[in-house]
Amino acid sequence: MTSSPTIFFGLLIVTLCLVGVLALRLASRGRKQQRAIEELSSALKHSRDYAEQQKTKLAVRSDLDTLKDEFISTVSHELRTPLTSIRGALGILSAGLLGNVDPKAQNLLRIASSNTERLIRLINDILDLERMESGLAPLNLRRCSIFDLAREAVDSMTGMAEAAEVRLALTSHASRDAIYFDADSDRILQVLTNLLSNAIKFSPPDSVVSVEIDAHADSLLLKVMDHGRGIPADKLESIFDRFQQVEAADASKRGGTGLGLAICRSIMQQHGGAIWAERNQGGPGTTLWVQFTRSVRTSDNVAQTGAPSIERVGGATAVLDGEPGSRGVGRLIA
Amino acid sequence: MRLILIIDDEADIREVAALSLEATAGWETITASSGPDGIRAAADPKRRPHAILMDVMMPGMDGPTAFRLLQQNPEISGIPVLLLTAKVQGVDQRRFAGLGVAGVLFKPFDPLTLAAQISQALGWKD
Repeated sequence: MTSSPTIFFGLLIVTLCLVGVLALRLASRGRKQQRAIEELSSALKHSRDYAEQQKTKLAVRSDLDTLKDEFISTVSHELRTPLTSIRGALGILSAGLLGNVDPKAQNLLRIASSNTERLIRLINDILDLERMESGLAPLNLRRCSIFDLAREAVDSMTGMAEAAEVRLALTSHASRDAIYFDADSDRILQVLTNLLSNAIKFSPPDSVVSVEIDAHADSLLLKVMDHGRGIPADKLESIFDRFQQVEAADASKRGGTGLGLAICRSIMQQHGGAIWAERNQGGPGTTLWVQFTRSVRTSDNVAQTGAPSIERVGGATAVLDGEPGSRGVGRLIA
Repeated sequence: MRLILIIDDEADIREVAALSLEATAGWETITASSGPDGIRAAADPKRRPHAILMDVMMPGMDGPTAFRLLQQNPEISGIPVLLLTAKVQGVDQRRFAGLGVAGVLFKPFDPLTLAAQISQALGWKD
């Protein structure tokens, strides 16, 4: 028979063992938690260091951007000042304001004048491109009609087309309520006039440069098609890079700056759109495409209510004969 | 006959601008090479200009400062001032527009249309 003190000690030992085991487990859990806390603190410290580094990098980049912008602005200003005197003097002389000039001298004046204009365009284009790429030219977005913008561009290029004996034709396959999108109208006009100017420059006399508009559920497409000499397949991409022309002599022969399409691409990227070139199927020439994302708004039906179906534009007729919601065809021959 | 005061620190630009206005529009011009000289010329009661064409960046006193001083003199504060600048960036344009000048023209200007641009900015019909 066991005595009660023995039972008591036995229970005490068992209890002590249990307490010991519990204490050991708690201690082990505590060490694990301690380790986890240390790991978390270390991770937090790393994140803070990383954030600090990024902040410093951003500050440095912002300082660099400011410096770059100031530099470009200063260079642009410093170049414009002497160009003002040159352009002024040549302009006054070649216009004969100070008396008639010998024909040979007149020709030299013309050469100097046209190259001065080219240099001014180049400075403007460089400044424009730098401002866009450094985010210093924010878009002034508003609801626009791609048809109206295309018509404005065609209208403004009619003079150049006539001088080159090239016809401009504008057609819209999009329904009348599907031609609206959010854009900076001045910038899109810049793109469209640039594409038209290129197309006219490379078109043979008596040919047509056609502008066509089409709309899909979530996008708007516009193409400018010419029947000129075309672009080699390996240059269809690189023509959008700076100073990349198909032929080295193009800049001097055709008065371009080599930056037009780079500016167009930059503007399209800012709009979240796309621009690309394709060789025409089954014939010479090139088609330049621009694509915008389109979001439908109920106000678009209201916006075009009352728009005339036929308009006179710079001596050409623009027809947009689709009813709201229907698939219409607009045409402008200049 | 219009009389235009041209203020620019660049002698060549003063000469070209003056010649352009005289040859294309038949206007008379007076020129000054700095802000303070320009203010003195504008204040001459014997030859009060109808408009002032003024450069923005000039050493010493810049165009905007000269414009503010002109505005403080009630005798000449009514003369319209057009700034002529090689600063073409949007941020500069907004700053100039906020000064209250009659207009901003850009360098390099076209010598054949400079007078027409001034007339248009000031609403002159002649």
